[in-house]
Amino acid sequence: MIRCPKCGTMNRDGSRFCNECGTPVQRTKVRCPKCGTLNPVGNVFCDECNARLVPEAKLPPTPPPEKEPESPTTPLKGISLPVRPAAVDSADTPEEAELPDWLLELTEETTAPAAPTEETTVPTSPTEETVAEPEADLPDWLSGLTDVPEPGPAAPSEPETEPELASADLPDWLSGLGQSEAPAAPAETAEPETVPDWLDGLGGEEETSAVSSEESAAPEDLPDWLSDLSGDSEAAQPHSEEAPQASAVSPPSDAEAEPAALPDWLSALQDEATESYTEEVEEDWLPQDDEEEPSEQALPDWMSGFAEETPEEEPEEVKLPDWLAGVGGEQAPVEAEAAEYEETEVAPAELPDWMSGDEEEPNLEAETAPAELPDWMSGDEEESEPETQEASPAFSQEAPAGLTGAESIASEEGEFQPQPALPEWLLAFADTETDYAPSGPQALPPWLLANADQDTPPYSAPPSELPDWLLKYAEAPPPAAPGRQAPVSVSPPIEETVETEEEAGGSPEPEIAEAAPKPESPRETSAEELPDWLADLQEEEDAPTSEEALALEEELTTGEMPDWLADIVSEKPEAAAEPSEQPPVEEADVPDWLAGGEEVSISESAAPEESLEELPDWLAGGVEEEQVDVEEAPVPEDLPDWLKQGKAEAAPSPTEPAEEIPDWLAGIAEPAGEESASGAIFTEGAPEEAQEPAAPQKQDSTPEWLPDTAESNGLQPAAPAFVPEAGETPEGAPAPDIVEGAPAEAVPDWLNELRPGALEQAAPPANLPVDETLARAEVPSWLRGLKPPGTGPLPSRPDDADIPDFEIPSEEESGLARAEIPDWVQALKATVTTEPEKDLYRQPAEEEGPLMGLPGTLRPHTAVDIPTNYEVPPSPTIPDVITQQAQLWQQLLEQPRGKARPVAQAQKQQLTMSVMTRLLVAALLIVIAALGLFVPGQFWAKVSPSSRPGITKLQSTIDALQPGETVILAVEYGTAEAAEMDMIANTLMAHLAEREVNIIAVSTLPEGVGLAYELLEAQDMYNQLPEENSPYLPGSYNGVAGFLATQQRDQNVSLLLILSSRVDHLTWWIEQNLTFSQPYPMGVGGTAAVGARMSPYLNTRGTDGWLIGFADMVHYREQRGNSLRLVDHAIGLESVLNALMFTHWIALGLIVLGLLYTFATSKKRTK
Amino acid sequence: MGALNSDIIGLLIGTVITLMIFGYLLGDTKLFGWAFRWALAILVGAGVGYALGVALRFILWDWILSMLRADSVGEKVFYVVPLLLGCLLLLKWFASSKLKLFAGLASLGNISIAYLVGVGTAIALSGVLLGTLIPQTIATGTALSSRSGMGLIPGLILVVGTVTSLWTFSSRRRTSKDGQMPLLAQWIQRLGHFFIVLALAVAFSGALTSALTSLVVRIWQILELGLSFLGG
Repeated sequence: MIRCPKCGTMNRDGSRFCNECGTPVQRTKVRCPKCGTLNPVGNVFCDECNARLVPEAKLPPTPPPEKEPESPTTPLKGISLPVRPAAVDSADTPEEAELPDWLLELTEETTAPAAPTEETTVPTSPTEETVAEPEADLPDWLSGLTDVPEPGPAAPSEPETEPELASADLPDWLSGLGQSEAPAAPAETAEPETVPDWLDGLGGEEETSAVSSEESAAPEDLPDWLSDLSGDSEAAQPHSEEAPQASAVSPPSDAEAEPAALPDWLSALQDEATESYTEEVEEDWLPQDDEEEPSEQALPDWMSGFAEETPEEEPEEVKLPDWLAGVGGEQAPVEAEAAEYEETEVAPAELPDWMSGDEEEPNLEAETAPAELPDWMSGDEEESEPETQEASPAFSQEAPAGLTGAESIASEEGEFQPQPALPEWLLAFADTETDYAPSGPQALPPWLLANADQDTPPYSAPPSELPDWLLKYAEAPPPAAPGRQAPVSVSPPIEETVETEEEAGGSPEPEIAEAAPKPESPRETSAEELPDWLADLQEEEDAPTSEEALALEEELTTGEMPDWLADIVSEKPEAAAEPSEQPPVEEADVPDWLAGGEEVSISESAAPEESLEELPDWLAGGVEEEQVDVEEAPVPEDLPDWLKQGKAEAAPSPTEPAEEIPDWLAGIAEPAGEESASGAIFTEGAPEEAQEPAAPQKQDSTPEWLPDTAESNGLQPAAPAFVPEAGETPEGAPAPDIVEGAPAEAVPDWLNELRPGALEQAAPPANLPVDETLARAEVPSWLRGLKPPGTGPLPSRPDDADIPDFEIPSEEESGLARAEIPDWVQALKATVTTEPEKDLYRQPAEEEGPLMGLPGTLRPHTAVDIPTNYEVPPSPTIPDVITQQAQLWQQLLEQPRGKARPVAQAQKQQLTMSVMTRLLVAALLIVIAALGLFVPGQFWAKVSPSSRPGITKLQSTIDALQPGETVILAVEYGTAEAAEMDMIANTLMAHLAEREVNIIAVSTLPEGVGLAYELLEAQDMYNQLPEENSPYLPGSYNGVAGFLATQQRDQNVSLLLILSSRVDHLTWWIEQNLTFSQPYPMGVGGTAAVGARMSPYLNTRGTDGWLIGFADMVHYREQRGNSLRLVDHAIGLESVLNALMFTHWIALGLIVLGLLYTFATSKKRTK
Repeated sequence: MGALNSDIIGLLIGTVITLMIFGYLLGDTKLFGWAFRWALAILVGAGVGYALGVALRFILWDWILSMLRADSVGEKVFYVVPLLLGCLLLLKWFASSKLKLFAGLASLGNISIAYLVGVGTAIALSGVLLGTLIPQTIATGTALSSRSGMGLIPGLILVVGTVTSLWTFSSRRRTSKDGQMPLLAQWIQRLGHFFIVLALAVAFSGALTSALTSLVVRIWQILELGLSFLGG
């Protein structure tokens, strides 16, 4: 199924357009590297050739502990589209070795011991919530993802399975996120004098980065949290090198090496993080395989402090901006996702560039970022370069997408161009997130929900607790923006906020607040301790005189302004406000996107149209769509629990009723409301306006979805930074301001899509200036797994033909550099390997028949008819003879029918050799037979009775017959055999006549009846068969059976004499006679031919003698003493027998000759 | 004299027809072929005519008379049913008729055919089992149970001949994958072939003997006729 990015309708796979709204839907497919088949994303193996679509992932070699600090220097190239390479769905066999580092680290975090490391210099208090309820640490949007039942069985609440998953496959940037989820991140108040080692280390890194990046933007201008990142990216070894420095300040642990370079607010965060992960500070950005230091190693420095913080213990700390907190909170779902993809294998080679290139690009500045970052990031980077380089050049390189985007928004100079296209992994991310808020626009996006969970307002911290880099800004009070209304989001005094936080200490949301930097950090107290780059920032904060700056100053004065925002505000060149002792930041320093957020928060009735014009795209888009969402479904019931709770707490706030709050912002605004209004600094990114402080920030510029929030909360709607408003957020989570007046185009698309309801209201993709490269970026599998339940597949990668009129905006138009797709992603890019389909089917029109005129109706399918390897066989050589015959046949067939045709004529018989042979043989036999009849003497020998048992037995049988007994005579021979059989039959009949028996003559042959009567007549006998019975027995053996049955019943037969010259007839009589229980005695008289074949019957039971052949007849007569001289015959039987013997010899001789002749002729033929 | 004359006439006709049949030896030529075919036609025609006469005389006539003479209805029914079945069988003659009505009637003859086939099969089976297989098996066993050494040989020959002959007929399918039979099977088959050829040779010898006997008897009868003309 394909989810429509506009309306969210689930379309069938393969759909190009949404079935509901017609919006083109994107399809993502993975081209098989082997056969080129496009496979749906998620396939591990090709559907066609079973080739592995995603290369085998290999665990990166576990770096030795000494080299672990190298990984934190991974330059952030933006989102490098990490992809779960294989076994997306096969989470049955979780193998830690196959998991990506970021997943492994996440899992390690979950299993990380909750006990804080008391050895660290920064005392921390364990966050009981995180220990007891790991899920509570998860941002909602991630926890919600973890609730997704379909991807995998591992639930985020199951720390037993997660460690193995997260520790192996999580990318570093996510692993760092995941560390914040680690349980028991105590957030005890850090001692101010004790500089956390990890902060020291960061400081060192910061210095290094500042030195190394002289050509580019000064790293000193970077905020601490960004400089920390830059320091990580600048050198792969600085951590390890700085570790000793950190160890000098703090206990010699790896985790304490970096904090020296960290800004205060990060150091505070880090303090909290180091309580539980003190040993892993250096490896924040490195993939950690060491299970002993799972979470801290993987936690990025800039986020490690966000992990676990308890608001009760450190409510006064400078709170982490929500949008950072939200980012930090993303680790939870990532971890959950890691559980889903237990078998995920991420080879080192497959790591995104921003992960793998840590050591390669340590000192990259903003100039190099565009080349390495995706368009949506690089573009921001470019825009933010002129001024944001001072603030956070390194961050722009290294920060994850969300951070980078925020940073770029904060940039003042470059015109922020709308994000043309998001990487698909983000699109998918947005899809998945929006899936969590399917109820309507009132629902917060998960990523906001997650942040809201941790919306402990860091801006509620008192100025004294602000980090140094914020203290600098606080020194310059921002002048009030004349053209604007007083920002409503003026936060209450920090003390109040602290109290509020303390009151809400039991709330589960204050993790982010806990992560706020320690106010006691020594760097907070003195500007001399600030890093150089912060000092530069402080210098830039000289003259912020705009009203916005004043408004911001007010907010900052209250201590509720998030440090990171204050830092950014201080970067505004136009800001004339001087930093005060308190955190307030001059409004002039506040970027537009921040200042605007203030104003927006002030203006409750901001016109959405105007705000859209001024808001950045990434906000404007969200504004446009969010406004509709709010109108459509402002049902507060859809709010998550934490939002409801926030609302309950926000009840005393005088802000707008909850119904008017955009749902996805309400959760932020409401909890912030309790804290203080000062924290409502929304980071609505409008870089270009942020650099133009003179431009009045209008309420009208507030996006539609922001004014609602502002109206409801009295604050500006929260940008992706998720800063709850001061007055509503019990935890005092800082709400990033949305710069008012930011043009609508400035809202990045990826944010538009991330916000709830974006899918329903999103413009057709064709209208969006989407970078095709990015649009076609493949959705990583690991992100696809984040898809919430009940939703369809992510927008698939569209084919070329699937994107109608899809134009890739140029870099000039989009203002964004083309995103650099990592090589490993490029390898997966579908390439058109098939040649343009040949017009094989274009056939000429049919010239005749019913299909005449129709072209290609019977198109041949060569792919089926002819195999690819078919070779045309050589044409056979036809002999001329065959050709002539064929021609002759053709001529004959072509002749008209009327013409007389040749008819085969019988050849004239000639006296051939064969005829002569036959005549010779016949003449020879006849002559021999004739001569034998006249040869006197006896040439045959008499046989003994013992040699002829049948004759003797038959004679005895007949002799045993008594006169009057009945003998059935079966005459089964014809006239053809009568010559032979008559002699036998007459002999036997004569014997029977002597015995004076009654003869019942029957026959199955018509001619047999006549022969029978002839035999009887010759012996003066008559047939004793009753008149009603016929001597003819029709029906072959049926007649025999019926006759015998009748005789069995009526007659007392003494002998059955069968005279047969036919085997079958003789068999009938024998068989049917034997079928009776008392068969008749049988005598057989037959020809010589029958005797040879009937010997098995004759020699077995049932026969009482036989007389076979002429010779037996002669012997029978001799045995009986009959004369061989017949009456009326001149030639006696002995002469006949002599002739018969002679003929037999002659016949035998002829057979032998014929055999020899056959052999002789066959040999000749063989030769 | 009259009887003699009839016998002599019969012998003469028979002699002529015999020579006509022998004319086949010279080939199916115009000169001699007609004699053979003419003699053959006489033989077949005389035999068929005689068969028809016998059937009419001893079947229909006697059967119908018996039915008519039957005293009881039961007897008449006894004769009527076969006649009715015979009449239905005659309807098969209309099977090739172009008239559909008669063509349909032809199917009624199937009743008689079914009766004949069914009853005939049952009778044949009983006869084969009780008259051939069982007796042959018993005879084979008896031959093998002979206590004398010489008596056992015929039995063994009989068994071996039977088994090998059956093997020869059934071993055609027992071929190996490469199409060649196993060596043992080949030898058994050859042995079976030997017994079969031997049996055919015996049958041929019997047929040859019968033919030679008929020839000799016919020549004897012709010579007797000639001698009778010569010497009375």
